[in-house]
Amino acid sequence: MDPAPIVQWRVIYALMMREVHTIYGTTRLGYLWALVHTMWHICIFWGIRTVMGVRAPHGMHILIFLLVGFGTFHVFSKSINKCMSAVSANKALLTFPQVTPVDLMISRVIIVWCTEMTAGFLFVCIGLLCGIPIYLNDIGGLLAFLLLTPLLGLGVGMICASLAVLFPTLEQIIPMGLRIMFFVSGLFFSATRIPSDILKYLWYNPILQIIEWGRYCLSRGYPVLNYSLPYLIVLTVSSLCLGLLFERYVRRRLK
Amino acid sequence: MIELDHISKRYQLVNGRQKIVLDDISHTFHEGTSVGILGLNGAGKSTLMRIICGTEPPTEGRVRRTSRVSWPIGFSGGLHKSLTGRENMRFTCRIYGADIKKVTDFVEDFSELGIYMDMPIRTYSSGMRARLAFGLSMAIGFDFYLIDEGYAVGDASFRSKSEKVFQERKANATCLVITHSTSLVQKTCDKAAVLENGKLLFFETVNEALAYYKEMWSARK
Repeated sequence: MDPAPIVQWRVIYALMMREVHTIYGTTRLGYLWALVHTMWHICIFWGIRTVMGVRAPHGMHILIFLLVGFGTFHVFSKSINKCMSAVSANKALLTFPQVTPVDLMISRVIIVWCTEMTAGFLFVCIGLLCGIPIYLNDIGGLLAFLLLTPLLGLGVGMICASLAVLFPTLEQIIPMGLRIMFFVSGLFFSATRIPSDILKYLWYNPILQIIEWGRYCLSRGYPVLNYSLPYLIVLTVSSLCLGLLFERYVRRRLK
Repeated sequence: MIELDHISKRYQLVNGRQKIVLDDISHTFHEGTSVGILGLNGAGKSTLMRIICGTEPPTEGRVRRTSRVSWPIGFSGGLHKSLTGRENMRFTCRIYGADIKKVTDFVEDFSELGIYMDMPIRTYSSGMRARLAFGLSMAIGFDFYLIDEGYAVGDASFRSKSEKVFQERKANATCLVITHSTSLVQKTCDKAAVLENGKLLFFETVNEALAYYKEMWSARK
């Protein structure tokens, strides 16, 4: 028998391959559709803003502005959705003793993250080809921002998926909550445009903070929100711990 | 080695009542000693098997496995219905760290699925599923093979082929057979136990177990 970390990695790799093969497995373009879907959103908002003649935010091009906003939010919200449907979509695979719901969720979040990263990379390449200026202000911050989002998504996803086993109504409520998050996380507007008496409440939205921080890292002189790294880290770590704990608790109730 | 450490399994019934299926079972199965577990219908044999192979968690206690343990032979519940036979096969190879090429060659040849290898499992007949699952378990190679009732599936020629391959594997593997048929135990097992009222009773020889089981069986009649 092989040691546990090797078995776990094998399982996650196998699940990732299974996921990539089947996300759009029945269509001819396959996985490419995942990329197209991801990029489509950004293109729509880019188009709308161009047509309406909205002024570009300070210190960065509108493409990068939207890319950070939508990319981050998609990683977060898709992670949650994918975690919540992970078990029901893969029930048969759970009959293998080495496959656990956590493996399903981790592999799905990795795929979501890789898809968004690939789409983002393609956008950056397109941007560079079109001569759009792209700045890199803080490379360490950028790396941390890229890692923090999927971890937070995984943590919250595990919590939601576990609670949904106990309270099935959550399957209806959580997507509604995510819809609200879509409008209050600064995807297509800058946090500095929010009136300060509202912002003092919205500040606690970690996705708003992460997005604004990401924009700061990829800009020159973008007026950044007063984000708090300790707050984000504490939130991420505690959501991961709670998620793992809840998952453990409901695992026996699954079957 | 498969070690059962104070395993209990209870199912919730209506009105807060419980059914105790397995009651504090502790036993270690060693490699090289094939064991038959006999039990009447509803004694909890299949539950015990699912707990041994890890498909289902026990209510209490833990199972430690230091060997590679198969899923119940012929059991096709681990095949994902919307994936093709080939995708399922690749997935299984990956999680067990088996060589995909070798397994593919063996399973394609053995299971006689032909073009269906690239069709989703939901289009398979139950016989085809069983053939794929059986072929896979033979190709991957386990230290312990779990057998729930018989293992031979399909028509007569396929059965004899299965029998032949299984005998080859058996030379290097240990079997745990769960059944209510006494002949299968006599043919494959070195030791036998009887599952009765949630307890597992072990006997020195297979014949003693069979005698006890027959007595139990006729008492019920």
